[in-house]
Amino acid sequence: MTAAERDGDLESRLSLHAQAFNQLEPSPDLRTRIAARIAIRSEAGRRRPAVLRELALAAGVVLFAGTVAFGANYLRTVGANAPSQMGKAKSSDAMTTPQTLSPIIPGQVSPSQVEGILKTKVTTVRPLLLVTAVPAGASAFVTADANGYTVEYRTKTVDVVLSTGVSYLPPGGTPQQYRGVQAVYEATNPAAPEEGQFLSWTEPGQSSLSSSGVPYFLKVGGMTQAEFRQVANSIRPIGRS
Amino acid sequence: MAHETADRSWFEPMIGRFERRAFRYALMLTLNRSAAEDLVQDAFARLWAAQNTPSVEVGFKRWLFRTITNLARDRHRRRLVESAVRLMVPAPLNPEDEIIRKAGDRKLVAALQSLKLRDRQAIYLRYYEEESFAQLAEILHVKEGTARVIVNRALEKLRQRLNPSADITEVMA
Repeated sequence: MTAAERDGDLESRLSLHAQAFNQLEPSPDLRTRIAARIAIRSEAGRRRPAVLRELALAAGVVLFAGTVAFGANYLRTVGANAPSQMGKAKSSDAMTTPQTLSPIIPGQVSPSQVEGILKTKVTTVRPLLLVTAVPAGASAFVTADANGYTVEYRTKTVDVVLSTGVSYLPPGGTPQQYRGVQAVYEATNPAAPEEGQFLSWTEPGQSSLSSSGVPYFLKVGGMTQAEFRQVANSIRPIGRS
Repeated sequence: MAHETADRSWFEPMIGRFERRAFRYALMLTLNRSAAEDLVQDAFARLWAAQNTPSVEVGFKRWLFRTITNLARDRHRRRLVESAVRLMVPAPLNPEDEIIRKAGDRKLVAALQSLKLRDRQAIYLRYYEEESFAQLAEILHVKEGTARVIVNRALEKLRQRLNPSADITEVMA
């Protein structure tokens, strides 16, 4: 058999495999999770200009002080009024209007609005769970469609995410009972659980995607194990209107 | 083609259009469902955040696939470093994901798995995405002739993996 024939066979084999491979589907909630990731990134992007503005302000203060010092020195040596060199300040409009994708990325809402949004948008999932021990002063970010949702509460130091769907957990989680079912707990760094803690479980219930239960996961950053447990234990089903 | 940042109404349809293809591409590069979905989320988020993400399909897909490639490469490097730190044990191959098994031809999957990322990428784009060499070259960011060479070499490596005796014969010859 020549190399060309061998490659021909291999190409046919690849094409056959491609047909099967291209039937593979991502998790049904992937789109929701893409939206959640975009929402988080958008928020990070909105924070960045604030830092830039602070740096620009600091640079401006240094420049101003330098100009004043130079001017004072110039006046002292020349003994005459120097012409004003003050230029017009350029406004830096680095802060853009927050961009949101509608309808899957509603973006930031107040924590009190979350329940209403979920009741309206998530029509196929029962039960709808919600964290009731919301960190003080947190902003809420909701991503929702009919088949799933992600709610994130964020402060400067703490991040709490509750989401339907299966999380990408690092390998080696610890099985434990939670809400009457088997759950998996995982800390990114067991020596420093505040770096990230995860809990995933299948809540008895149903959705359009599954009648055997609703996969949920909780992800928390910036909390001790005790605080994490407190948040996990505060999760409650919300009523449907 | 660059877009203005003010209007991103075109972005959401792009997610719908490319979500599955992006997932399969990432799956071929990582051979791990969870990792693939993680890369896809990250890739779309990066394209959303980037100022110059093309708003036309061809350009968008090129950027998306390039971003996934870069993320997969970063992940691969990170895993190598992590495994080196852990008692200098080489990184184990990813366990075959259930989803990969479902696609059949496990020998071929195993052979693909043993290829370098670049070779797997070339084969996927050519035979699974059915890209022309010109399109493939754009995604790989190389000349068209180079894209052909990359695919042919990847095919040859794959053939050798599937038929190790051919390897021995060639080495002995």
